[in-house]
Amino acid sequence: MMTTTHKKKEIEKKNFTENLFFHLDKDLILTSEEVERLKKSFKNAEVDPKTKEFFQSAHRLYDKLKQNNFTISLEEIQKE
Amino acid sequence: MTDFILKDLDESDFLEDFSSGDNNINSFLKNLALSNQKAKLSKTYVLSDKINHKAVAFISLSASQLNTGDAKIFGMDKIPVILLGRLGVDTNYQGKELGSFLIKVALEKALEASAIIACRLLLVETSKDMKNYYLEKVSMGFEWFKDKKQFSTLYIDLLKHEENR
Repeated sequence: MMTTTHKKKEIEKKNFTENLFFHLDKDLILTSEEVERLKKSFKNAEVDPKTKEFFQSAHRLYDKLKQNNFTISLEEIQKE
Repeated sequence: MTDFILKDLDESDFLEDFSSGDNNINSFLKNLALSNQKAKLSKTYVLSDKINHKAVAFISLSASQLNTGDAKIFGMDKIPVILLGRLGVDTNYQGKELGSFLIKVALEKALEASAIIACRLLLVETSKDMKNYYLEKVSMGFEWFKDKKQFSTLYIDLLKHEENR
C-alpha cells in the first residue's frame, strides 16, 4: 500500500513534469541569425509613438497603483 | 463599480471559479502557481475582486536567460531576462483591457527587478494564435524572436521601456 509520503512525492513528481512554465527554457539557445537580429534591435533605439504612449501609460498606471495600495477599478484600468 | 486589488498570490485568493478558456493556464494557476512561488521558481501576481477575493486575472514572472550559443552580445554568451511565463484572464473579464493592463504591470515589475539585479528583456512565450495580439493589436513594444512548434517567443527591450516611459 502506498504511504502518504510516497503519494505526496508522486504528486510532486507529476506536478513538476507537468510544469509547462519551464518548457521554454530548452529552446532559449539562439541561432546566429537570431543573435544578429537581436544585436540590430539593441542598436536601434527608436521607439514608435504608439509604443512610447504604451510605455508611458504603464508608468502612470503603476504609479497610480502604488498610490492606491494596489487597488484599482475596472473603469480606471480601461481609461488608462 | 468593481474594485480589484493586485497582490502576490497567497492562500486567501479564491481560484476555484477561475476559467480562462485554456486548461494549461487554469491548471497552472490552480495547481502549481502557489507551490512554484513557495519554491521560489516563479512569482504570481493576481488581480482579485477586493470583496470576495475571486481571481479574475494573473501573471507569473521568473528570472531566466537567453543563451546566445557560440555568438556573443556585449561580450557575453548569456542575456539575463525576465520570463513572463503565464498570463491568464477569466472569460467573464476578457475583452476588458485586463491583458494589456497585466503587460503594463509586468513591464514595471521587470523594470523594478532590473534596478536590483540587471535584466535586459521581458520575454513572453505565447501560443501562435495570440502572437498577433501582442505584436499588432496593441503597440506594446513587443518584437518577435522565434516560432517553435505551437509557440512564439516575443520580447520587449527593458532599456527602451526605461528610456521612453
